[in-house]
Amino acid sequence: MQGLWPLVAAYAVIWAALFGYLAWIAGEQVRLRQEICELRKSLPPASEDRHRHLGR
Amino acid sequence: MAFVAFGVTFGASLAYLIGRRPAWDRVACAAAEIGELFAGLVLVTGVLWARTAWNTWWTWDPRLTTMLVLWLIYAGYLLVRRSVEDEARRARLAAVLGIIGFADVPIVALSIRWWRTIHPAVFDDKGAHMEPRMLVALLISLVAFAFLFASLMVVRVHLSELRDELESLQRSVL
Repeated sequence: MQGLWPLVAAYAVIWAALFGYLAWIAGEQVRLRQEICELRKSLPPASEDRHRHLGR
Repeated sequence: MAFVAFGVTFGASLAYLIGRRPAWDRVACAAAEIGELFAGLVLVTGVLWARTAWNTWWTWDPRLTTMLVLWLIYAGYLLVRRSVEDEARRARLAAVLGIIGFADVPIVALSIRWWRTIHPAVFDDKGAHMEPRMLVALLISLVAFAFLFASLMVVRVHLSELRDELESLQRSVL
């Protein structure tokens, strides 16, 4: 059992890194979507008309 | 799989320099970041393995050293991406680095043949030198990590698209 520690440590490192990376991506996506939403709201009306005209 | 990721960065960087399409820059960036993650995992789990196999955490063996250099090259690549403001200049600089940095990949792969090393040479011209059950486990994890790489690429490229959309919106507001 004592000889298994490198395997357990390796699994822990791999899972921690992967979940950490996925959590960072998810957090960034939420933040960027919020910022995009806020910016779209603050766009001047002329620009909104243009977007509507373009069908966006 | 880190080598594959850096290979994707190399190909996408080359494609960006030829066609100047931002989509290639996004692919190169995503692959470099995921490759860096995988290379980091190789180094950390390798250190754990070395402690058991060689009774030392780290030794300046050619394979280990060149792998560390590879990790540092792509860490530099990611730092350059963060430090340059201008979008076109950033993409151009990163593409050049992505191409030059890839030169270390064959050096890492062949280091165990070129220099005297304590790192085992698992694969050579005569095939794989490992227990058949270990080879099966290796192939299964290779397939699993290939799927993981592809999935992470999709998610990471989408994140870059969102970033670009935000940047263009910010420009139109200002």
